[in-house]
Amino acid sequence: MGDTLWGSIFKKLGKNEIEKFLSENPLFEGLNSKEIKSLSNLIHLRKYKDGEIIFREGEPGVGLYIVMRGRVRIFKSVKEGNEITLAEFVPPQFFGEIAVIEGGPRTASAVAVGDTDLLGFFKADLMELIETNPRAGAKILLRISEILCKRLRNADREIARLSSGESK
Amino acid sequence: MNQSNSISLKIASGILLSLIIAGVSYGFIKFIFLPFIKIAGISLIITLMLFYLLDPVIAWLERKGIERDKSVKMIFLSSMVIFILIAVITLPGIAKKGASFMFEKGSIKEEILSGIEKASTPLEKFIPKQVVMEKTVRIIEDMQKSFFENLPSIINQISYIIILVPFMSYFILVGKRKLLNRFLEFVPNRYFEITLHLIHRINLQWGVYIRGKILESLILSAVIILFLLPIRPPYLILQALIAGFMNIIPYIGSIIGGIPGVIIAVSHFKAGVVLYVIFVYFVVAQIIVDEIILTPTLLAKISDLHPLTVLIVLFIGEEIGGIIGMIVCIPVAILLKIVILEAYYFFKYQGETPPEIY
Repeated sequence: MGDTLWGSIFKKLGKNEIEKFLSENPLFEGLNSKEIKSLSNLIHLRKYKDGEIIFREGEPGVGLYIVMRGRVRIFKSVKEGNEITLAEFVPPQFFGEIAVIEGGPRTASAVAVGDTDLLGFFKADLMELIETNPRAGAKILLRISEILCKRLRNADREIARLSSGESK
Repeated sequence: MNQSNSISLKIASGILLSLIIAGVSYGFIKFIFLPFIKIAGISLIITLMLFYLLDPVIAWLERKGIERDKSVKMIFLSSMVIFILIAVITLPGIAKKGASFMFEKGSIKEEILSGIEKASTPLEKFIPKQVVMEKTVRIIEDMQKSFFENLPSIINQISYIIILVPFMSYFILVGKRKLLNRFLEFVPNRYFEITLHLIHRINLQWGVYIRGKILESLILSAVIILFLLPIRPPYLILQALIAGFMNIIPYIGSIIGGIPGVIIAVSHFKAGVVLYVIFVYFVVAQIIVDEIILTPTLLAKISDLHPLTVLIVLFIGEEIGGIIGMIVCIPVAILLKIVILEAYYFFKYQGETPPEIY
Protein backbone atom coordinates (compact mmCIF):
# COMPACT_ATOMS: atom_id res chain seq x y z
CA MET A 1 0.00 0.00 0.00
CA GLY A 2 2.79 2.34 1.06
CA ASP A 3 4.71 1.91 -2.17
CA THR A 4 1.70 2.32 -4.44
CA LEU A 5 0.41 5.41 -2.66
CA TRP A 6 3.82 7.07 -2.35
CA GLY A 7 4.64 5.94 -5.87
CA SER A 8 1.67 7.81 -7.26
CA ILE A 9 2.19 10.89 -5.09
CA PHE A 10 5.93 11.18 -5.59
CA LYS A 11 6.21 9.99 -9.14
CA LYS A 12 9.72 10.65 -10.34
CA LEU A 13 10.61 11.02 -13.97
CA GLY A 14 13.63 9.34 -15.49
CA LYS A 15 14.15 6.83 -12.66
CA ASN A 16 14.99 4.01 -15.07
CA GLU A 17 17.35 6.29 -16.90
CA ILE A 18 19.16 7.08 -13.62
CA GLU A 19 19.33 3.40 -12.65
CA LYS A 20 20.81 2.52 -16.04
CA PHE A 21 23.34 5.36 -15.79
CA LEU A 22 24.38 4.29 -12.28
CA SER A 23 24.79 0.64 -13.22
CA GLU A 24 27.17 1.65 -16.03
CA ASN A 25 29.23 4.00 -13.82
CA PRO A 26 32.63 2.64 -12.69
CA LEU A 27 31.99 4.01 -9.21
CA PHE A 28 29.16 1.54 -8.68
CA GLU A 29 30.79 -1.40 -10.42
CA GLY A 30 29.82 -4.75 -8.93
CA LEU A 31 26.45 -3.67 -7.51
CA ASN A 32 23.56 -5.93 -8.48
CA SER A 33 20.24 -4.59 -9.80
CA LYS A 34 18.59 -4.60 -6.35
CA GLU A 35 21.49 -2.65 -4.87
CA ILE A 36 21.40 -0.18 -7.77
CA LYS A 37 17.69 0.29 -7.12
CA SER A 38 18.23 1.11 -3.43
CA LEU A 39 21.10 3.39 -4.44
CA SER A 40 18.90 5.26 -6.94
CA ASN A 41 16.48 6.05 -4.08
CA LEU A 42 19.31 7.81 -2.27
CA ILE A 43 20.75 9.73 -5.22
CA HIS A 44 19.76 13.37 -5.86
CA LEU A 45 19.28 14.62 -9.41
CA ARG A 46 20.16 18.33 -9.67
CA LYS A 47 19.88 20.51 -12.78
CA TYR A 48 22.23 23.48 -13.24
CA LYS A 49 22.19 26.31 -15.76
CA ASP A 50 25.25 27.53 -17.61
CA GLY A 51 27.56 29.38 -15.18
CA GLU A 52 25.65 28.30 -12.06
CA ILE A 53 27.87 27.64 -9.04
CA ILE A 54 27.64 24.05 -7.74
CA PHE A 55 29.72 24.70 -4.63
CA ARG A 56 32.25 27.25 -3.45
CA GLU A 57 35.64 26.77 -1.90
CA GLY A 58 35.35 26.77 1.91
CA GLU A 59 31.76 25.52 2.08
CA PRO A 60 31.16 22.27 3.96
CA GLY A 61 31.60 19.44 1.45
CA VAL A 62 29.24 16.57 2.07
CA GLY A 63 29.45 14.45 -1.04
CA LEU A 64 30.37 13.71 -4.61
CA TYR A 65 28.69 14.60 -7.89
CA ILE A 66 28.50 12.46 -11.01
CA VAL A 67 28.15 14.34 -14.30
CA MET A 68 25.13 12.94 -16.15
CA ARG A 69 24.89 15.65 -18.82
CA GLY A 70 26.91 18.78 -19.62
CA ARG A 71 30.30 19.79 -18.21
CA VAL A 72 31.72 20.97 -14.86
CA ARG A 73 34.75 23.22 -14.32
CA ILE A 74 36.69 23.04 -11.04
CA PHE A 75 38.57 26.23 -10.20
CA LYS A 76 40.40 27.99 -7.43
CA SER A 77 40.32 31.72 -6.76
CA VAL A 78 43.73 33.35 -6.63
CA LYS A 79 44.84 36.91 -5.89
CA GLU A 80 43.19 39.92 -7.56
CA GLY A 81 39.98 38.05 -8.37
CA ASN A 82 41.63 35.72 -10.87
CA GLU A 83 40.72 32.05 -11.19
CA ILE A 84 42.77 29.05 -12.17
CA THR A 85 41.03 26.04 -13.67
CA LEU A 86 42.12 22.81 -12.00
CA ALA A 87 40.06 20.28 -13.96
CA GLU A 88 36.98 19.75 -16.13
CA PHE A 89 34.58 16.84 -15.83
CA VAL A 90 32.22 15.33 -18.41
CA PRO A 91 29.80 12.32 -18.26
CA PRO A 92 30.23 9.80 -16.60
CA GLN A 93 33.07 11.30 -14.55
CA PHE A 94 32.63 12.34 -10.93
CA PHE A 95 34.21 14.80 -8.54
CA GLY A 96 34.17 15.65 -4.82
CA GLU A 97 34.70 12.04 -3.66
CA ILE A 98 37.00 13.16 -0.79
CA ALA A 99 34.00 14.87 0.85
CA VAL A 100 32.08 11.56 1.01
CA ILE A 101 34.82 10.11 3.22
CA GLU A 102 36.21 13.12 5.05
CA GLY A 103 33.36 15.64 4.98
CA GLY A 104 35.65 18.65 5.34
CA PRO A 105 35.38 21.99 3.57
CA ARG A 106 35.63 22.18 -0.25
CA THR A 107 39.15 22.98 -1.35
CA ALA A 108 38.03 24.40 -4.72
CA SER A 109 34.87 25.72 -6.37
CA ALA A 110 32.76 24.03 -9.08
CA VAL A 111 30.70 25.68 -11.83
CA ALA A 112 28.44 24.28 -14.53
CA VAL A 113 29.58 24.84 -18.12
CA GLY A 114 26.42 24.75 -20.27
CA ASP A 115 23.18 23.22 -18.98
CA THR A 116 24.30 20.38 -16.73
CA ASP A 117 22.60 17.48 -14.90
CA LEU A 118 24.41 16.10 -11.88
CA LEU A 119 23.71 13.15 -9.62
CA GLY A 120 24.65 13.96 -6.03
CA PHE A 121 25.68 11.17 -3.68
CA PHE A 122 26.38 12.34 -0.14
CA LYS A 123 27.96 11.15 3.06
CA ALA A 124 24.54 10.93 4.77
CA ASP A 125 23.28 8.77 1.88
CA LEU A 126 26.30 6.48 2.11
CA MET A 127 25.83 6.13 5.87
CA GLU A 128 22.17 5.27 5.37
CA LEU A 129 23.11 2.69 2.75
CA ILE A 130 25.72 1.16 5.08
CA GLU A 131 23.07 0.95 7.80
CA THR A 132 20.37 -0.66 5.67
CA ASN A 133 22.43 -2.52 3.07
CA PRO A 134 25.99 -2.97 4.40
CA ARG A 135 27.03 -5.14 1.44
CA ALA A 136 26.27 -2.44 -1.12
CA GLY A 137 27.75 0.24 1.18
CA ALA A 138 31.00 -1.72 1.52
CA LYS A 139 31.26 -2.19 -2.26
CA ILE A 140 30.88 1.55 -2.86
CA LEU A 141 33.33 2.43 -0.07
CA LEU A 142 35.87 0.02 -1.57
CA ARG A 143 35.46 1.58 -5.02
CA ILE A 144 35.88 5.11 -3.63
CA SER A 145 38.98 3.97 -1.70
CA GLU A 146 40.45 2.42 -4.88
CA ILE A 147 39.85 5.64 -6.79
CA LEU A 148 41.35 7.77 -4.00
CA CYS A 149 44.41 5.47 -3.88
CA LYS A 150 44.84 5.72 -7.66
CA ARG A 151 44.68 9.53 -7.44
CA LEU A 152 47.15 9.52 -4.52
CA ARG A 153 49.59 7.41 -6.55
CA ASN A 154 49.27 9.82 -9.47
CA ALA A 155 49.87 12.76 -7.13
CA ASP A 156 52.95 11.02 -5.64
CA ARG A 157 54.27 10.38 -9.14
CA GLU A 158 53.66 14.02 -10.06
CA ILE A 159 55.45 15.27 -6.90
CA ALA A 160 58.40 12.97 -7.64
CA ARG A 161 58.52 14.19 -11.24
CA LEU A 162 58.37 17.85 -10.21
CA SER A 163 61.00 17.47 -7.47
CA SER A 164 63.40 15.72 -9.85
CA GLY A 165 62.97 18.61 -12.28
CA GLU A 166 61.61 16.38 -15.08
CA SER A 167 59.36 18.01 -17.65
CA LYS A 168 56.13 16.32 -18.84
CA MET B 1 -31.98 60.86 -1.78
CA ASN B 2 -32.34 57.44 -3.27
CA GLN B 3 -28.67 57.46 -4.14
CA SER B 4 -27.63 58.36 -0.55
CA ASN B 5 -29.96 55.62 0.77
CA SER B 6 -28.34 53.14 -1.53
CA ILE B 7 -24.84 54.20 -0.34
CA SER B 8 -25.90 53.90 3.35
CA LEU B 9 -27.36 50.46 2.59
CA LYS B 10 -24.12 49.43 0.93
CA ILE B 11 -22.05 50.69 3.91
CA ALA B 12 -24.36 48.94 6.38
CA SER B 13 -24.22 45.72 4.34
CA GLY B 14 -20.44 46.06 4.18
CA ILE B 15 -20.15 46.50 7.98
CA LEU B 16 -22.54 43.63 8.59
CA LEU B 17 -20.65 41.40 6.19
CA SER B 18 -17.32 42.37 7.79
CA LEU B 19 -18.74 41.59 11.23
CA ILE B 20 -20.01 38.20 10.05
CA ILE B 21 -16.65 37.43 8.43
CA ALA B 22 -14.78 38.57 11.58
CA GLY B 23 -17.11 36.47 13.80
CA VAL B 24 -16.81 33.39 11.62
CA SER B 25 -13.00 33.83 11.40
CA TYR B 26 -12.75 34.29 15.18
CA GLY B 27 -14.88 31.17 15.74
CA PHE B 28 -12.87 29.26 13.15
CA ILE B 29 -9.53 30.28 14.69
CA LYS B 30 -10.60 29.75 18.30
CA PHE B 31 -12.63 26.57 18.02
CA ILE B 32 -11.24 24.81 14.95
CA PHE B 33 -7.81 26.15 13.96
CA LEU B 34 -6.15 26.53 17.42
CA PRO B 35 -7.39 23.17 18.80
CA PHE B 36 -6.36 21.59 15.49
CA ILE B 37 -2.88 23.15 15.72
CA LYS B 38 -2.59 21.92 19.32
CA ILE B 39 -3.67 18.37 18.40
CA ALA B 40 -1.49 18.37 15.27
CA GLY B 41 1.48 19.69 17.28
CA ILE B 42 1.17 17.04 20.01
CA SER B 43 0.63 14.33 17.37
CA LEU B 44 3.72 15.52 15.50
CA ILE B 45 5.86 15.40 18.66
CA ILE B 46 4.70 11.84 19.46
CA THR B 47 5.17 10.86 15.79
CA LEU B 48 8.75 12.16 15.79
CA MET B 49 9.48 10.28 19.02
CA LEU B 50 8.08 7.08 17.49
CA PHE B 51 10.01 7.72 14.27
CA TYR B 52 13.35 8.04 16.06
CA LEU B 53 12.58 4.99 18.22
CA LEU B 54 11.45 2.74 15.38
CA ASP B 55 13.74 3.83 12.54
CA PRO B 56 16.79 1.90 13.86
CA VAL B 57 14.62 -1.22 14.27
CA ILE B 58 13.41 -0.88 10.68
CA ALA B 59 17.00 -0.36 9.48
CA TRP B 60 17.95 -3.56 11.32
CA LEU B 61 15.11 -5.45 9.58
CA GLU B 62 16.25 -4.00 6.26
CA ARG B 63 19.76 -5.30 6.95
CA LYS B 64 18.17 -8.74 7.36
CA GLY B 65 16.83 -8.37 3.82
CA ILE B 66 13.22 -7.35 4.56
CA GLU B 67 12.05 -4.40 2.44
CA ARG B 68 11.36 -1.13 4.24
CA ASP B 69 7.59 -1.00 3.72
CA LYS B 70 7.22 -4.64 4.80
CA SER B 71 9.35 -3.95 7.90
CA VAL B 72 7.15 -0.98 8.83
CA LYS B 73 3.99 -3.07 8.32
CA MET B 74 5.41 -5.88 10.48
CA ILE B 75 6.27 -3.48 13.30
CA PHE B 76 2.91 -1.72 13.11
CA LEU B 77 0.92 -4.96 13.13
CA SER B 78 2.88 -6.43 16.03
CA SER B 79 2.70 -3.14 18.00
CA MET B 80 -1.05 -3.00 17.41
CA VAL B 81 -1.54 -6.55 18.67
CA ILE B 82 0.60 -5.83 21.77
CA PHE B 83 -1.20 -2.51 22.35
CA ILE B 84 -4.66 -4.13 22.12
CA LEU B 85 -3.61 -7.00 24.40
CA ILE B 86 -2.20 -4.62 27.02
CA ALA B 87 -5.32 -2.44 26.78
CA VAL B 88 -7.68 -5.44 27.17
CA ILE B 89 -5.71 -6.80 30.13
CA THR B 90 -5.02 -3.57 32.01
CA LEU B 91 -7.79 -1.10 31.13
CA PRO B 92 -10.54 -2.52 33.38
CA GLY B 93 -8.10 -2.57 36.33
CA ILE B 94 -6.80 0.93 35.59
CA ALA B 95 -10.35 2.31 35.26
CA LYS B 96 -11.35 0.73 38.59
CA LYS B 97 -8.17 1.85 40.33
CA GLY B 98 -8.43 5.29 38.70
CA ALA B 99 -11.96 5.76 39.99
CA SER B 100 -10.98 4.84 43.54
CA PHE B 101 -7.86 6.98 43.14
CA MET B 102 -10.02 9.97 42.33
CA PHE B 103 -13.09 9.58 44.56
CA GLU B 104 -12.86 7.00 47.32
CA LYS B 105 -11.01 6.69 50.59
CA GLY B 106 -7.30 6.54 49.92
CA SER B 107 -7.91 8.77 46.87
CA ILE B 108 -5.23 11.11 45.57
CA LYS B 109 -6.91 13.98 47.47
CA GLU B 110 -6.66 12.12 50.76
CA GLU B 111 -3.11 10.95 50.03
CA ILE B 112 -1.96 14.51 49.41
CA LEU B 113 -3.85 15.97 52.41
CA SER B 114 -2.54 13.32 54.77
CA GLY B 115 1.03 13.82 53.46
CA ILE B 116 0.84 17.60 53.81
CA GLU B 117 -0.75 17.35 57.27
CA LYS B 118 2.12 15.18 58.50
CA ALA B 119 4.75 17.30 56.83
CA SER B 120 3.35 20.60 58.15
CA THR B 121 2.97 19.43 61.80
CA PRO B 122 6.61 20.18 62.77
CA LEU B 123 6.35 23.58 61.06
CA GLU B 124 3.15 24.64 62.83
CA LYS B 125 4.97 27.30 64.84
CA PHE B 126 5.86 29.11 61.63
CA ILE B 127 2.91 28.38 59.34
CA PRO B 128 -0.56 27.61 60.78
CA LYS B 129 -1.55 24.06 59.73
CA GLN B 130 -5.19 25.07 59.26
CA VAL B 131 -4.25 27.67 56.63
CA VAL B 132 -2.04 25.22 54.73
CA MET B 133 -4.75 22.53 54.76
CA GLU B 134 -7.49 24.91 53.59
CA LYS B 135 -5.34 26.23 50.78
CA THR B 136 -4.41 22.68 49.67
CA VAL B 137 -8.06 21.55 49.70
CA ARG B 138 -9.00 24.57 47.58
CA ILE B 139 -6.23 23.90 45.04
CA ILE B 140 -7.13 20.19 44.76
CA GLU B 141 -10.84 20.93 44.38
CA ASP B 142 -10.15 23.54 41.69
CA MET B 143 -7.97 21.04 39.84
CA GLN B 144 -10.62 18.32 40.12
CA LYS B 145 -13.34 20.73 38.92
CA SER B 146 -11.26 21.88 35.95
CA PHE B 147 -10.38 18.24 35.14
CA PHE B 148 -14.04 17.17 35.02
CA GLU B 149 -15.07 20.28 33.08
CA ASN B 150 -12.39 19.60 30.47
CA LEU B 151 -12.87 15.81 30.42
CA PRO B 152 -14.98 15.66 27.19
CA SER B 153 -12.49 17.88 25.37
CA ILE B 154 -9.52 15.84 26.71
CA ILE B 155 -11.15 12.57 25.56
CA ASN B 156 -11.88 14.17 22.17
CA GLN B 157 -8.28 15.33 21.76
CA ILE B 158 -6.86 11.96 22.84
CA SER B 159 -9.09 10.19 20.27
CA TYR B 160 -7.77 12.43 17.47
CA ILE B 161 -4.18 11.85 18.61
CA ILE B 162 -4.72 8.06 18.77
CA ILE B 163 -5.95 8.16 15.15
CA LEU B 164 -3.41 10.68 13.82
CA VAL B 165 -0.20 9.34 15.37
CA PRO B 166 -0.16 5.82 13.85
CA PHE B 167 -1.23 7.23 10.48
CA MET B 168 1.49 9.91 10.43
CA SER B 169 4.15 7.57 11.84
CA TYR B 170 3.40 4.92 9.23
CA PHE B 171 3.73 7.30 6.29
CA ILE B 172 6.81 9.06 7.64
CA LEU B 173 8.54 5.73 8.31
CA VAL B 174 7.66 4.26 4.91
CA GLY B 175 8.23 7.38 2.86
CA LYS B 176 10.97 9.22 4.76
CA ARG B 177 13.35 9.11 1.81
CA LYS B 178 10.74 10.27 -0.68
CA LEU B 179 9.58 13.04 1.65
CA LEU B 180 13.17 14.24 2.08
CA ASN B 181 13.88 14.13 -1.67
CA ARG B 182 10.65 15.94 -2.44
CA PHE B 183 11.52 18.65 0.07
CA LEU B 184 15.06 18.99 -1.33
CA GLU B 185 13.68 19.47 -4.84
CA PHE B 186 12.32 22.83 -3.67
CA VAL B 187 15.68 23.93 -2.24
CA PRO B 188 17.68 26.12 -4.67
CA ASN B 189 20.93 24.55 -5.96
CA ARG B 190 23.00 27.16 -4.13
CA TYR B 191 21.73 26.01 -0.70
CA PHE B 192 21.16 22.35 -1.52
CA GLU B 193 24.35 20.91 0.01
CA ILE B 194 24.21 22.99 3.17
CA THR B 195 20.52 22.07 3.62
CA LEU B 196 21.27 18.38 3.22
CA HIS B 197 24.18 18.72 5.63
CA LEU B 198 21.97 20.50 8.19
CA ILE B 199 19.18 17.92 7.89
CA HIS B 200 21.70 15.13 8.38
CA ARG B 201 23.24 16.75 11.48
CA ILE B 202 19.85 17.61 13.02
CA ASN B 203 18.60 14.09 12.30
CA LEU B 204 21.63 12.55 14.03
CA GLN B 205 21.41 14.84 17.06
CA TRP B 206 17.64 14.49 17.48
CA GLY B 207 17.91 10.72 17.09
CA VAL B 208 20.55 10.48 19.82
CA TYR B 209 18.67 12.92 22.07
CA ILE B 210 15.20 11.37 21.76
CA ARG B 211 16.36 7.75 21.97
CA GLY B 212 18.74 8.66 24.80
CA LYS B 213 16.05 10.47 26.78
CA ILE B 214 13.46 7.69 26.41
CA LEU B 215 16.01 5.03 27.38
CA GLU B 216 17.18 7.20 30.29
CA SER B 217 13.58 7.59 31.53
CA LEU B 218 12.91 3.85 31.33
CA ILE B 219 16.15 2.94 33.14
CA LEU B 220 15.45 5.53 35.88
CA SER B 221 11.90 4.19 36.33
CA ALA B 222 13.28 0.63 36.59
CA VAL B 223 15.91 1.70 39.16
CA ILE B 224 13.27 3.45 41.29
CA ILE B 225 10.98 0.38 41.15
CA LEU B 226 13.89 -1.90 42.09
CA PHE B 227 14.96 0.17 45.10
CA LEU B 228 11.43 0.92 46.38
CA LEU B 229 10.05 -2.60 45.88
CA PRO B 230 11.08 -3.79 49.40
CA ILE B 231 8.92 -1.10 51.07
CA ARG B 232 6.01 -1.55 48.59
CA PRO B 233 4.63 2.02 48.40
CA PRO B 234 1.22 2.45 46.71
CA TYR B 235 1.16 3.16 42.95
CA LEU B 236 4.86 2.27 42.72
CA ILE B 237 4.93 1.76 38.93
CA LEU B 238 3.01 4.98 38.30
CA GLN B 239 5.29 7.01 40.62
CA ALA B 240 8.40 5.54 39.01
CA LEU B 241 7.15 6.23 35.47
CA ILE B 242 6.26 9.83 36.39
CA ALA B 243 9.70 10.37 37.94
CA GLY B 244 11.45 8.71 34.98
CA PHE B 245 9.62 10.61 32.25
CA MET B 246 9.63 13.98 34.01
CA ASN B 247 13.39 13.62 33.79
CA ILE B 248 13.06 14.55 30.09
CA ILE B 249 12.82 18.15 31.38
CA PRO B 250 16.37 19.09 32.43
CA TYR B 251 17.08 20.13 36.05
CA ILE B 252 13.49 20.95 37.10
CA GLY B 253 11.99 17.67 35.84
CA SER B 254 13.98 15.50 38.24
CA ILE B 255 12.68 17.53 41.21
CA ILE B 256 9.03 17.71 40.03
CA GLY B 257 9.08 14.01 39.14
CA GLY B 258 10.10 12.97 42.65
CA ILE B 259 7.45 15.01 44.47
CA PRO B 260 4.44 12.59 44.05
CA GLY B 261 6.52 9.69 45.37
CA VAL B 262 7.72 11.67 48.37
CA ILE B 263 4.18 12.91 49.19
CA ILE B 264 2.84 9.34 49.06
CA ALA B 265 5.74 8.17 51.26
CA VAL B 266 5.08 10.93 53.82
CA SER B 267 1.42 9.89 54.10
CA HIS B 268 2.22 6.17 54.48
CA PHE B 269 5.55 5.66 56.22
CA LYS B 270 7.61 6.77 59.22
CA ALA B 271 10.35 9.38 58.96
CA GLY B 272 13.15 6.85 58.41
CA VAL B 273 11.42 5.24 55.42
CA VAL B 274 10.54 8.67 54.00
CA LEU B 275 14.23 9.57 54.15
CA TYR B 276 15.02 6.31 52.31
CA VAL B 277 12.46 7.21 49.58
CA ILE B 278 13.99 10.71 49.24
CA PHE B 279 17.45 9.09 49.05
CA VAL B 280 16.28 6.69 46.30
CA TYR B 281 14.64 9.44 44.21
CA PHE B 282 17.21 12.16 44.50
CA VAL B 283 20.52 10.42 45.28
CA VAL B 284 20.38 6.90 43.82
CA ALA B 285 18.26 7.67 40.74
CA GLN B 286 19.22 11.27 39.96
CA ILE B 287 22.83 11.58 41.06
CA ILE B 288 24.34 8.08 40.95
CA VAL B 289 22.42 6.49 38.07
CA ASP B 290 21.51 9.53 35.96
CA GLU B 291 24.33 12.05 36.43
CA ILE B 292 27.22 9.61 36.85
CA ILE B 293 26.24 6.66 34.63
CA LEU B 294 23.49 7.48 32.13
CA THR B 295 24.17 11.08 31.03
CA PRO B 296 27.83 10.52 30.03
CA THR B 297 27.06 7.25 28.21
CA LEU B 298 23.68 7.93 26.56
CA LEU B 299 23.71 11.66 25.94
CA ALA B 300 27.40 12.47 25.51
CA LYS B 301 27.12 12.81 21.73
CA ILE B 302 24.56 15.61 21.90
CA SER B 303 25.81 19.09 21.12
CA ASP B 304 26.18 20.34 24.66
CA LEU B 305 24.16 23.39 25.52
CA HIS B 306 25.47 25.64 28.27
CA PRO B 307 23.52 25.15 31.56
CA LEU B 308 22.51 28.82 31.51
CA THR B 309 21.25 28.45 27.92
CA VAL B 310 19.25 25.37 29.02
CA LEU B 311 17.64 27.36 31.87
CA ILE B 312 16.74 30.29 29.59
CA VAL B 313 15.39 27.91 26.94
CA LEU B 314 13.34 26.06 29.60
CA PHE B 315 11.88 29.34 30.82
CA ILE B 316 10.90 30.37 27.27
CA GLY B 317 9.50 26.86 26.59
CA GLU B 318 7.39 26.99 29.75
CA GLU B 319 6.07 30.45 28.87
CA ILE B 320 5.05 29.33 25.38
CA GLY B 321 3.76 25.82 25.90
CA GLY B 322 3.81 24.77 29.58
CA ILE B 323 5.08 21.23 30.25
CA ILE B 324 4.99 20.33 26.52
CA GLY B 325 6.96 23.49 25.78
CA MET B 326 9.58 22.47 28.35
CA ILE B 327 9.91 19.02 26.74
CA VAL B 328 10.12 20.34 23.18
CA CYS B 329 12.34 23.39 23.83
CA ILE B 330 15.61 21.44 24.18
CA PRO B 331 15.42 19.67 20.76
CA VAL B 332 14.42 23.04 19.25
CA ALA B 333 17.44 24.68 20.91
CA ILE B 334 19.69 21.91 19.52
CA LEU B 335 18.24 22.58 16.05
CA LEU B 336 18.79 26.34 16.34
CA LYS B 337 22.35 25.87 17.58
CA ILE B 338 23.23 23.63 14.61
CA VAL B 339 21.56 25.95 12.07
CA ILE B 340 23.16 29.13 13.47
CA LEU B 341 26.67 27.62 13.73
CA GLU B 342 26.58 26.01 10.29
CA ALA B 343 25.15 29.15 8.65
CA TYR B 344 27.89 31.21 10.34
CA TYR B 345 30.67 28.99 8.93
CA PHE B 346 28.92 28.69 5.57
CA PHE B 347 28.89 32.44 5.01
CA LYS B 348 32.17 33.22 6.82
CA TYR B 349 34.45 30.87 4.88
CA GLN B 350 32.76 31.12 1.48
CA GLY B 351 35.36 31.47 -1.26
CA GLU B 352 38.43 30.87 0.92
CA THR B 353 40.18 27.90 2.49
CA PRO B 354 39.01 27.68 6.10
CA PRO B 355 41.25 26.85 9.06
CA GLU B 356 41.96 23.16 9.81
CA ILE B 357 39.82 23.19 12.96
CA TYR B 358 36.69 23.71 10.91
